[in-house]
Order: sequence, then C-alpha cells, then structure tokens
Amino acid sequence: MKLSTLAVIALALGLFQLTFLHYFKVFGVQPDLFLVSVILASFFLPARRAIIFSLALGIFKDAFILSAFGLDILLFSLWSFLIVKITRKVSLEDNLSRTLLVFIIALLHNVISGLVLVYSGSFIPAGIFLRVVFLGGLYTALVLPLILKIIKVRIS
Amino acid sequence: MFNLKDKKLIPFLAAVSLLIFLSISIIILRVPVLAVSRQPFSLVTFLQRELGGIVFYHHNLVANERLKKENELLRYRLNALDEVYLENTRLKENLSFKQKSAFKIIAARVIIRPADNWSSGLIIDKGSSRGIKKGLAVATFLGLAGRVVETTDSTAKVMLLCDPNLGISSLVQRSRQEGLVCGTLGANLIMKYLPEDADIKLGDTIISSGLNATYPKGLLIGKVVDIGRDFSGLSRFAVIKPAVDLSNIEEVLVIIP
Repeated sequence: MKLSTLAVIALALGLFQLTFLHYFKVFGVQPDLFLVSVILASFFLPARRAIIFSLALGIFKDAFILSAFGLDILLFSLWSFLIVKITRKVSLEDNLSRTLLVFIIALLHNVISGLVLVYSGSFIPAGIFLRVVFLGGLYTALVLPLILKIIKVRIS
Repeated sequence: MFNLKDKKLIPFLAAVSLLIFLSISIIILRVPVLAVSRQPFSLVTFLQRELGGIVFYHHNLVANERLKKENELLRYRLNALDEVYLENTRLKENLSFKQKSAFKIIAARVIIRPADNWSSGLIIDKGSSRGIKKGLAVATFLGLAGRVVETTDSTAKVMLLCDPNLGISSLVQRSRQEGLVCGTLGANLIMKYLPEDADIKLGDTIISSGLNATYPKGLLIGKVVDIGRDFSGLSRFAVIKPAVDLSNIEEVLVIIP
C-alpha cells in the first residue's frame, strides 16, 4: 500500500475519532482509531517509513490531548517498532491473528496510559480503569477487521 | 530479536533521545497542529450539525415546541425576578455593600472531542484573540462544565469536570458543607474530604463555593446520587451526577471575570 493512501486513511480515521466517534461509545468507551492507523502502517509500510509515520501520528494525536507529556509519541513509535520486528519473524496474514495482535497492543497501550495517569496523582476508580483498559482494547481490536475490509474494497 | 550490536547502539540511542525530546516538547508542537486543524474541524462540525438537523427533523420539531413553551414560562419568571433584583440592589445600596462587577461571557462551539478514553478535554473555536485565557471557567446554561487549560490564538482547550486532574472547591447548597469535587473519567463526579458528620444527603444540590477566583460562586455542579465511606474509613465521599451532560456538549460559555 502506498504511503499517500495510508496517510489519507489515517487522516480520515483521525477526523472521525475527533468528531463523530463519541456517538459510538459503548459503556463510555470508544476505540482508538489512531492506534489502528499505526498498526496498519506497521503491516503495510516498510519498517523505517512505518516508524516515522507512527511518530507523526503520535505527534498529531498528542496535540489534542490535555497532558503536558506526549506519551503517544513514545508508545506509537514503540508499537510500530515491535510490530515490524514481530512480522519479520511471524506471518500475520489472516485477520484473526492481526485482531489478536491489535487487542494485545491496545490492552498494553491502555494499561500504560492509565498507569501514567494514576501515578501522576489522578484518582480513577478501579472499575472505570478496568473498563477502559479491557473494553477499550476489545473495541479497538474489533474495529480492525471492518477497516481492513473497507480498505480492501477501496483498493480493489 | 533485540540483539543490539555496537554500531547500531548509537543510532538507537539517538532515536530514543529524539522520541523523548519530542514527547517533552509536545506543548510547542501542539500550536501549529491546532492552528491548522481549526478550520477543517469547524467545517466537519458544521456539516455534522446540518446533517443532524435533517436526520432528526421530527425529533427537533417536537423539541422545538416543548422549548417554546418552556421559554415563555421562563420569561414570565424572569420578569418577576427582575423586581426582586431591583429590590436587592436598592437594599444593598442602603447597606453600602460593594458592587460586584458583572462577568463577561463568550459563547464558543466545540469543534474537537476527546481524542482517547483517558482524557476529557474539548477544543473550542475561540482563543486568546477573543480574550480567553488559561484558567477561566467554562459553563453551559445548565451549569459548570470545566476550565480552560490551554489557549492558542484561535482555539482553546477545555478540561471537563469528569477529568480526574480537575478539582473544584464546592458547597452543598442546603447545608453549606464544603468539599472537593473531582472527576473520575466516568459519567459521575465525586465529592471528597467530607467529614464523618457532614450534613449531606441524597438529592442535595452541589454548587461552586467561589473560594477559587476562577469559578464564580453559585455555579451549579450537580446533584448527589450516592454517599459512601472512604477506603480509610476516616472520611466520606458523595457521588455527584453532573448537571451538564459532559459527553454531549455542543456549545459552551467561557466566563471572563
């Protein structure tokens, strides 16, 4: 897939996340379409381009976050690096394995983001913490096959 | 898989340092991103509103009729309150009370929603060029909504009440019991540091105390829906249902003292 095509897809997903996605919240949780774009870039782009693309997406997402520290810049680059390394060793061509990978990464991403928030002194009830971590990860993972289907339909 | 040879170590360390530098300097990087994003997001919000008006035509028609009747009733009550206000002003003058200056209010539209599940911030389409500064209170006609935390020339970032980093000094309207209202990322807020003998009960109205100059006194925050004991057992807390539907705010009012 071309970089320009992926950039347009990432921009569309980002726009959707920042404007309409709150209508599709389930138990107050929405999927992270920026993370899905990072994972798509890591699957379909060469390694260096994927990591730089993920870095740019991290900067874009952190511009709209309230915290003073750009955590997504670090995490998106890390996930992209890891996925590039994993896909060199393990074949992930089918949707099920990709969805599982997205679920694990989304879970880790939510856990790290949540722990940073908690250790910065914010009080988050345990139930809400677990809901955001697990439901957010699951919702993000379930969105990936749908996006892949739309991309395949568009490309073909 | 992660076998780093010496010749790859320096570029790797350089990349990590660059990432950390970019993460720390995100405050500077945000300004051009927000400046560029304002117009496209304003357009999308406009299209969303127009589309919503077409799709939900019947719902809007029914709501319009109901709101017209409510408006008439409120106008009648406002006229009656005008008399009370004039009498209050007259009595204050007689007692030589210092006049409070009126607040200036700027209406703004929400153009960007929270980017992920761990933040509760909105971005509005007015910024420092309109007099909006960091730390100003943000409300709607229903009550307090949050606080301005960052501004650019044409946009401002608002931290909502449900953000766990926001704490507001508040009062129980009935008993004047003080407490601190914080967000929990959920639909409800939590009022902390209530003593054992705090006079608070279900259904009580919570308002801002005005101890902080940012939030004018008397702004409605919400109603008490549950009361519990702290984990330590030394104090109590109350769960507050916010007066404003924080997940569906379309327009806000920035209060400039």
